[in-house]
Amino acid sequence: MLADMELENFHNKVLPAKDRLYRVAYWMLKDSAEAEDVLQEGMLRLWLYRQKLLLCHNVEAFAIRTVRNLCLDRLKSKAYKNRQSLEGLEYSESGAASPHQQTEAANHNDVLMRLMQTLPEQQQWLLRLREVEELSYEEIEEVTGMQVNAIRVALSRARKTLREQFIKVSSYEKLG
Amino acid sequence: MKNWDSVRELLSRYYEGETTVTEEKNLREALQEADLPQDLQLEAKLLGWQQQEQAVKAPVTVQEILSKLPAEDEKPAHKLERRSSWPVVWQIAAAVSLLVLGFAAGKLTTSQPDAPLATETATELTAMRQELSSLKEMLQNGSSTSQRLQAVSVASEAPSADTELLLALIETMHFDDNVNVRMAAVEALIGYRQHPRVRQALIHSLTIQKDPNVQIMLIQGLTAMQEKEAVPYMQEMLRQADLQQVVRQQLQKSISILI
Repeated sequence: MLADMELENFHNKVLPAKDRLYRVAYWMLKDSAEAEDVLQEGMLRLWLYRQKLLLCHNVEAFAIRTVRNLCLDRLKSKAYKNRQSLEGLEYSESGAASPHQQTEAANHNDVLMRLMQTLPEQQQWLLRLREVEELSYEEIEEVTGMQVNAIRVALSRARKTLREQFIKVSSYEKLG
Repeated sequence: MKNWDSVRELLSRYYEGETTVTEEKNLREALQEADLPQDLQLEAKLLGWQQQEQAVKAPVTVQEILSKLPAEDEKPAHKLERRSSWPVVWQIAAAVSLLVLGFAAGKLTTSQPDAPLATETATELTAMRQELSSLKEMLQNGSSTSQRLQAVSVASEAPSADTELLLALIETMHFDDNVNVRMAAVEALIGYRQHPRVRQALIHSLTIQKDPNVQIMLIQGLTAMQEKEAVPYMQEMLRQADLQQVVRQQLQKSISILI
């Protein structure tokens, strides 16, 4: 009975989050193979936790936090750092590959992605969780441990900064 | 015909972080419209980047994920290949402490094999004194490594260490030829950290030790003791060119904790 509930919970709440979890991992690690690896590792961990997950009122947020921690572990490990320093250059131009997008859209998206990397890490996180993953403030609170009010303020700042920077860059480009 | 003013109002709340997820969805939808006013076209670009990101999907199917999970009643089989990066130093530290524990246990069980339970305290004390003096003797002149190691471990268990024993231990920590004996002495002395002299000696030993294992043990011990006076010595150590990388990292971590 309990096992059934655990299984159902896992199938309904954890597995559907796979794309989200993958995106978070890919964004943090900048490497699709590593991200896939972390996704599987995260799933394994959540699977082992499946009993506890029944008590968790926001499974998805918990799952994202799990994957985030796994990524942080990986980034901290020395081997990964060495690897990254070799591959660091490769990422900047690739952005998120999506060939079917119109070139024009891809163009200003790339500019935005670049600008976003200049934001404080915390603001980048909030933009990811809100704009891409469309989490509610309560869910973001679960993932980041920040208070709702602080989230609102930082997110607002991130959106405004991004807008200002984008306007600046666009006007340069028009002049050039 | 769209009510663009309501879109603008939504937009200004969006920038204040006051819109809900649903409102933001509606907003993005409105900004997709073909007849968008000039001023909103920029906003459409600004809010539209997430689509490209959302298009990124996990390259594995749910089935593939499930197939790699252990069967339901299987015990956790993870952590097999991970954690191999555990610092060697810790493995050594664990090994040494096991060794010390083993010796201590051996000593405890063999030294008084058939002493009657009701031995008087006085005789115990005398025995202890005798043992202490022989300990000092053994620490300084013990012929084999294991003898000295044993002496250190017993010294660390001694309930009342007198100055002489501490001095013997300190000397062992500084100058014993064997790394394991020195490490055991560090551990024993950390147990006597309430003595100011011991704290001084532990700090001083930072400048003497050359073996990274002993160095790390000292640094960690001093950090746990929150010995702020050790900081200048640690900073001095950082200047040594031949310092091992692990030690350097440990030093940086400890200094940042202590300061």
